[in-house]
Amino acid sequence: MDTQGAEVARRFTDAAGVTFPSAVDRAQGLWDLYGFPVVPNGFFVDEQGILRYVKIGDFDARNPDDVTAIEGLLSTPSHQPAVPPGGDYARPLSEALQKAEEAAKHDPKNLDLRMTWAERLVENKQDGRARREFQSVLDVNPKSTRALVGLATAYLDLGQKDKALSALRQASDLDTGNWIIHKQIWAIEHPEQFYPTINPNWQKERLKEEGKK
Amino acid sequence: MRKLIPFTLGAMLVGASLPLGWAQKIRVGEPAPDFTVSSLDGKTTYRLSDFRGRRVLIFNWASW
Repeated sequence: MDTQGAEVARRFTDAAGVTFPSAVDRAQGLWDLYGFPVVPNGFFVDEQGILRYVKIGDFDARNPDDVTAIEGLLSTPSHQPAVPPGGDYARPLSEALQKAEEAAKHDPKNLDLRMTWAERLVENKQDGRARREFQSVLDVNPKSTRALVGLATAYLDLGQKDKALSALRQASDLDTGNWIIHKQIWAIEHPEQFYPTINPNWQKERLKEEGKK
Repeated sequence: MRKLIPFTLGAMLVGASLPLGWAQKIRVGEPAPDFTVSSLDGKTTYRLSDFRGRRVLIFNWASW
């Protein structure tokens, strides 16, 4: 969940020696789809694609309760034929972009499909085009926080930090309880408090200041 | 069976509480909405539905 992109996330996966597939949701279609206003979250999906576990906020692989819950699900016998280990699940960026573009053009009034396409455009570094598509969604629905955050990702890539922050602030004002948007504004405004190491005291102070306003 | 290996990604010490009046969109027992996300190297994408037939743990975190 990083509007700023994979670079800021990679530092953590490298340090933790993560071996599972890791991905970045920049334009944040995922939080909109799953509807979570905070991280970290844990979701367990079974072989049929059914959600078997949902923990929104405070999911932590160091927390024994969370570990027990997931291990319990893993130890349940599977009714599905075993899938051999391995397998390559990565697909080319261009393929996802093409599919998203086809879907959006097939149903031009569907704003969700248009935003999905615009999010793929950002991943494919077609930020100018993505910006126009996000803007076209906002022309129809000025209160779309997903489009505003998407627009911010395109502006960040285009080096227009002020415009990115303005779009994020609009999104934050529309969805005041959303910490994902709120904290990204902090991280973009004050990168020195987040990278290379997070300063929790700064965040606590900031929260106090904002509470007074 | 593979054990879960504890690790730390990011820090979420501040602002991790759910806002009042927040309504969860997804439910246990219902299909997980399909999504596509870009890999961290920015070269490929992953799609949840491609993992059908496997059990998937999605750990969702942020750098901030």
